[in-house]
Amino acid sequence: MSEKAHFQTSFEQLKKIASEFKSAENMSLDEIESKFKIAKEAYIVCKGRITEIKDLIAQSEES
Amino acid sequence: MVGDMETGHTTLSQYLLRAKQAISRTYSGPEKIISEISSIKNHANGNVYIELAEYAGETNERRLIAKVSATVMRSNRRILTEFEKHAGEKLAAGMKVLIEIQTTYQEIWGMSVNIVGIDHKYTMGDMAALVTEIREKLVAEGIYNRNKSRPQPFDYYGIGIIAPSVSAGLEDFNKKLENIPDTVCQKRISHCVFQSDKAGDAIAVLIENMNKSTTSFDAILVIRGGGGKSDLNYLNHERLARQICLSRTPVYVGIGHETDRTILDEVANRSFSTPSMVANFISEHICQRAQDMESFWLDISREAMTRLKDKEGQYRDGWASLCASVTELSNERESRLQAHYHDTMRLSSAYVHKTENELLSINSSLTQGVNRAVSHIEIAANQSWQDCQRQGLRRTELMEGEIQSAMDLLETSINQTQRDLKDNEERERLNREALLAQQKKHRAQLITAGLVVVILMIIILILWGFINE
Repeated sequence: MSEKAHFQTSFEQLKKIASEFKSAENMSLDEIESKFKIAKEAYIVCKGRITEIKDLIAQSEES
Repeated sequence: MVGDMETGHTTLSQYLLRAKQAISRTYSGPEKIISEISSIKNHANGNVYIELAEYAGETNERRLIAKVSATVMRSNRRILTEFEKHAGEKLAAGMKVLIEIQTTYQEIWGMSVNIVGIDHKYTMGDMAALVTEIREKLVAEGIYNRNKSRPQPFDYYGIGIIAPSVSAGLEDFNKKLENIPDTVCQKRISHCVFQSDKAGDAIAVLIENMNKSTTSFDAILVIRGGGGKSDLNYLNHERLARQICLSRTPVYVGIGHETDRTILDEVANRSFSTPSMVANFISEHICQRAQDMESFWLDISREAMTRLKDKEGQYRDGWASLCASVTELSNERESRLQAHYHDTMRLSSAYVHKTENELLSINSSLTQGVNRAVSHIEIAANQSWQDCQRQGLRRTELMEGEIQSAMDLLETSINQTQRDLKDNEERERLNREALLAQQKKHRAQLITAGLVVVILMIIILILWGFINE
């Protein structure tokens, strides 16, 4: 899978999990743990690009 | 002709005065002309500035042959309102119009062309007609909306840029995107002319090549900043428009200025007013994606933490509630047990007391019964003893009689036996004497026999001796 595809898949996963966390009223400890683990893995995949872009934003704000 | 008094040369005012006089003679009054409107701008001072243009050649081969800036003065704006009222639309760029103009010249302000009347019967100009023609062809081919309907890329990792080599708009564009490194978004820029008859074909070839390239582009940007409206006519190009429609990669068009529009703006996936706006869109999209992702992650982390804290609180509350319930239950049980204990003690004490009384009563009854039984037994025993005594005496008496008679009988028997014994003794003595006599006789016989044997033995020995000699 290409970096672009990874990023998109991870983005969709994070979006879905964030939505589930917002909408689900009750969630067991196991559910919270498993969803958080998936989200963390997805975030780590894209962390390099995100960090690079965050740095750019910070630089542009400074300038 | 009057010149400078000292040098004899013509002054600027003298020179321009001649120009003014010539223009005044040539354009003595208002004239009606046919022209196309390249651009139209409302100024804050109330005047409306309109660029007029004229092109030569057919649809795809049009070229600009004349252009001039004209003004509708604030005092004369009613002609625009009347045009809109009659034509059904506002005067706009691309329209071909029949206008009445008054050209004047002033030494200070230069030449000015004032529009003093507009014939509303001319509502469509050549440029608009060309655009209409291209649009109809693409619609007929079924490709007009093809690029427009392509989904927008999820994010921008690579973009192809087609722009003129020198352009103020491109500098703005580069400033916006230069901070984004190629590791985030790779940019490949291809330069070509935009203000030439060859612009349409050149741009179409570049778009085709970018689609065939091994480099994967998320979008192809066609950008050009600034320039006059009339220069845009080179972009109203059928092949270029078709190539954009057929492009597999979404094509973004950013051709200044804000009021400028070409057929490319219609068929492109996205249309922007200026190159800077394209750059803003791309960079903002990239940043937004990253920020969204970061935001999702933060939301998830925060939400997970909140939920975990809630769970912890719930468990703490539950534990406290459980402890309280257990304590309450324990206290309740203890008080109930104490009550039971007291009840039991009271009941058992009463029962023991009652049982003790009953036992005492039973004991008394038993003692009485035993005493009665003992007295009965004693009476019965005495009676039996007396009966036994009586029977024993009678039996004794009977036995004494029997014993006496037995004694008598025994005495008789003893006497008889004594007599028999005496007889037997006598017979025995006689027998013994006879036996002794018989024994003596036998002994004598044995001695004799022994002597005979001895003699015989001696004889044998003697004989044996003789034989051996």
